[in-house]
Order: sequence, then structure tokens, then C-alpha cells
Amino acid sequence: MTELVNPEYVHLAPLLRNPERLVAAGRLIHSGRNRLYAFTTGDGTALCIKQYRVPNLLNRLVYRYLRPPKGLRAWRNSDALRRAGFLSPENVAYIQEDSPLGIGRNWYISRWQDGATIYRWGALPLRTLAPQLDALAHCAARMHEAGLLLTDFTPGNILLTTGGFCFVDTNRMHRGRIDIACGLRSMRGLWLQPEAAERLALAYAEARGAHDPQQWAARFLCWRKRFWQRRIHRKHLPLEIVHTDIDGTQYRFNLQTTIQ
Amino acid sequence: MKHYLLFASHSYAFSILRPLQEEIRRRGDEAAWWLEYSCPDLLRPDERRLSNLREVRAFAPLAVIAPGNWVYPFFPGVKVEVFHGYPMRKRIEAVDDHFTLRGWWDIYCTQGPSSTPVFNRLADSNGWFAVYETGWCKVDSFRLAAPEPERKRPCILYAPTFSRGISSVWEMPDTLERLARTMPWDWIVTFHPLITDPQLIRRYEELARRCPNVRFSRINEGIKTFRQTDLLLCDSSSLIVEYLMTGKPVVTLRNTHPGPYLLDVQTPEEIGPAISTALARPQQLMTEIERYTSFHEVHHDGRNSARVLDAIDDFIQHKQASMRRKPLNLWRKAQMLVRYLKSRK
Repeated sequence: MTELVNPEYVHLAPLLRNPERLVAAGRLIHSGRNRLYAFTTGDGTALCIKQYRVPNLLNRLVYRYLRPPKGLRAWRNSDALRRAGFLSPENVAYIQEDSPLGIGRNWYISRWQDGATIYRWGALPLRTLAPQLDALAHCAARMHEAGLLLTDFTPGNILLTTGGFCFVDTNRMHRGRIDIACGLRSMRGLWLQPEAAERLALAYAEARGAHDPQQWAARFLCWRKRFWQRRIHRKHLPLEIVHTDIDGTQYRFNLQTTIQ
Repeated sequence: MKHYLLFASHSYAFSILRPLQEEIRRRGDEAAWWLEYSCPDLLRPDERRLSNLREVRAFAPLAVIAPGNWVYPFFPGVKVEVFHGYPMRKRIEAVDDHFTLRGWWDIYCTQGPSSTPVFNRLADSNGWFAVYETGWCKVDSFRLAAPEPERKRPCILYAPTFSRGISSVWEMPDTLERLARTMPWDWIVTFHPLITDPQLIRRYEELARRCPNVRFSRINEGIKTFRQTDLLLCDSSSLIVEYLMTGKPVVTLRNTHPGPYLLDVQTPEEIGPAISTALARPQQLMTEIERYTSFHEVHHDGRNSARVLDAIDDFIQHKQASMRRKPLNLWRKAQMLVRYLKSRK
């Protein structure tokens, strides 16, 4: 068993070391490849528990001996973001089942972060979104200049909170020198109408000090179009995709104009 | 409440770990002790001792803090090395064994410029431990506000090391007796815990019986002993730098790495005059002492123990998840298991 408990939450350690109990008593809020639970402790600490799927045998060995598992990477990346001055839920614990045949189940536990995802942006016009797009572009530019690139930069992983944008599900992140192209490509999966996407790219390129922001915006639209065309083809997506948020709200994103 | 396990394998661990225990208690956390069979039980009534693995697991320490060269890898918690001395290069080797990596530690709490750069380089190339320049916990106790008790005559501490070939302990009894009888000085003789030769111990005990101005004690109580004396007579021991921290001079007999901060002599006959010179505290010697101690111990604010505890928190929050795997070390781990099982018998 590998355990990592944030010293700030050591008073919860007996509970955290038993994630099965947490999960059994918690509220399931997402069930897919991985499972997400919410749990509030007796002292009122709201936690978010992500239970990762047990990988196949090869990956169990890889994660045991060669590469850090996803939960551990989520801890590391979330910490890197927070230290660089960005919002991300505070790490609370990471628990991993170990055996000589590789890792077993693993749980990443963080503080619960209130906030709304930005799925709704897919249906909003530019005039409503412009200030928020500029803010997100500036935030992303700062993050990339700090050498941090969230490769899962999707609407479900960006929460709008009172303090600004908060980044969750951080297990996929690249560190190093991030150029403008790389930074813009990472934002292709956001749900935005073409004019909003153009505005985001313009603001991002300007924030990164590009000489030709218009060209970067045109390139971004092109990359984005290809990204969604491929996605529709590979995943057999309809032209209007729907996401149901954890509070039950449904958000729609019409891809018609994006792929034209 | 955070739990910390203080791991003592020799009696010197108490003076190193107690300032840490004080800081742990001051923060409202809890410390418990693990004493190896090689360590005498000098615990006070208010100190808690754990005596088997089950108790350690139940205690669930956040960190196991040890000043020795090893710790049981199967104990839970982050393993923290706080060292039992400074890198003194007491043997004439290319690499000081102070810097030997044994694969036990997650954190090395270094003391100053004499150790931090070397450990930083090792951390960069190995990647499985972190280095924090916290200063040495033991030095916290040197910052006692109370003035030293007044002495009518100068008192000299003789504290030889244990290593054969370096230690002066076998050739000193006669010189010590001569000086005790002829010079107006009091003496305190303390032994390294690893000097266990019964004949030698008896010889010094008899010397102390014959000379009323000589007091022999097996255990050096660190600052408590230092504060009773005006000068240290030694050979090559890491105790020298600790003593120099108190701002008092040291006379050495054939030190392996002498420097201008010591009055080093080559024969026992030269010891008496050297002590007389050192007791006068010449300005140049005192300046060199100041320079030398700052090289070994960077912090002089009495917060070294606090920095060790902060380093543990910082390591868990920010570094532990990014560390490389520690060396597999199967042979050493097996040795540790055997040692543990033996000690439980």
C-alpha cells in the first residue's frame, strides 16, 4: 500500500487510509472509466475522491515500476499548479494498492471545489463571453509561460469559481517550454462557437506577445475544425453533443458551424 | 495531531532529538521514541517509548527522524536523516562517509555550506531524496539564555573519539594524570558511546579516583557538559565542531584535518602549553573559530528543529509524489530485518 497524506489533513488520516469506506459512504457523482465521489467528513471538510480504474496487467506493471500512476500524477500536477499561483483543489491524500504484479486500485483525494464547469460556453454568444474568454486566455498564457501545459484542457476540467478559473483532473500535464502553437492546440477541445474561439485565440496570442495574433487565431480555427471533424468521425458523435453536469443540468454544443 | 517517531540507536541521539521533541510538543503534536538495543534507555517519565512494530504502525508516524546512519525501512512514515555530527573528514579518505548514501532516507536535513552543496549534487544525480538546509537540531539547545555557572578554576573537557588509529584514548591516561597533578585545572573526561573496552574504562575510573580534580563520566551530555567547561581536549571527532559552536577553544592531539581554528599538537608533551595558550583565547584563534563554525552551521537562530518539521511537511506536500524510487537494497533490507528481529529477542 502506498500512502500519501497531506500533513494538513493528518487528523483525517485514519479515515483517508480507508478509501473504500469513504467511497461506500460518499455520493457517486460520476461513473465512467473512473469514478468520482463526494464525501463530507465529520468536521465538515468536503472531499472529492477519484477512484481510478484498475489498469490492464501491462499497465499495472508499468505504473508500479516505470511510470507514476494517474492519481500520483494528479497530486503532483495539482501541486505544481498551486505553487505556480493557479487555482486547483488542494491535495488531501493518495492511496494505492500495491502488489508485485503491479498496482491495484488507487484513489486520489482532494478538497471539494465548488464551481461551475464551462460547458455552458458552447451555447453562449461572443458578446456575453468576451471578458471571460480574455480572462481564460490570459490565465492559460501565464500557465504556459510558467512551463505548465494541461493537456486535458476541456470544459469539464475548468471550473469557474469566485477566485477565478480552477483546474481539476490534472493527471495529464506536460512540463517544459510551451510555445504558442502548443498552447493553442491544447485548447481545441473547449466548447466555443467559432467567433468565441477566435477571440480566445487572439487574446491568447496577444498575451503571449505574438507579432501576428490574427494569423494564430486563423490557425487555431483550422486546428479546431480538424480536431472536431476527427472526433465526430472516430466517436460517431452527432452534430449536437450534450453533456449532463453533476447537478443534472444539460448543456448542448452545436458543432455545425465549427466544422464548416 | 501529527505523530513523529524519534529513532535513537545510540545515547548521543537524545541530545540531538530532544530539541526536536520540544518543538513537536510546542506545536501541539506528539513524539514517541524508538530505542535500539544499542541505545541505553535515558527517557524521562514524560517521554513515550514504542517497543514493537505493531505499536509503531498503530502510532502511524508522519515521519521517522533519526540521527544515525540507518533506520528500519519497514517503519511507516517519511524517513528523515538529521545527522549525528558535522562532516569532519576524520579519516583520511577521498570521500567523507558523512556523504555515503545508503538508500534509507527520503530527506536529508543538512547543516550548512560544509554539507548542503554535496548533498544537493547527490540529490540531483540520484533523485530519490530531497535536501533541506535546516541546520542541526542539537544546536537549538546551545542557545540557552541562562549564563554559565561561575568556576574558580578553568575546567577542561577531554572527549576522545572511538576509532582506533585516530583516538588518543589509549595514550592519554599518563599525560592526563601528570597535567591533573601539576596544573591548576579541573577535568571532565567523557567517552564516545562506542568506547566499550572494559580495561580502558577501568583505567580512567581509577585515574578519577586518584585525582580529585578529574571527573570521569561515560556519557557526554552535550551542551550540559560543554557548559561546565572552558576548553575541549580532543583528537579527531565531530564533537569538535559542536564544541566550537559554543565559542570556546579546542586543543587537539594529531587531528587528521587540522586548521587555524584548532590548536593542534603532535605529542602529548605539547598539550599542557597548548592548553595554557588556548585558555587565554587569542584573538586570531577566536576569529578563525567563528569563521569555521559558520561554514558548518548556517543558522544561528535556534529554529533548526522548526525548520526540520517544516521541511517534512513541505516534502510530503510538494516533493514526495515526484521522487524517484529508492534503491531496491535487498541485501541491506534483509540485514535490517535480521537486526530488528534480533533486537526484539
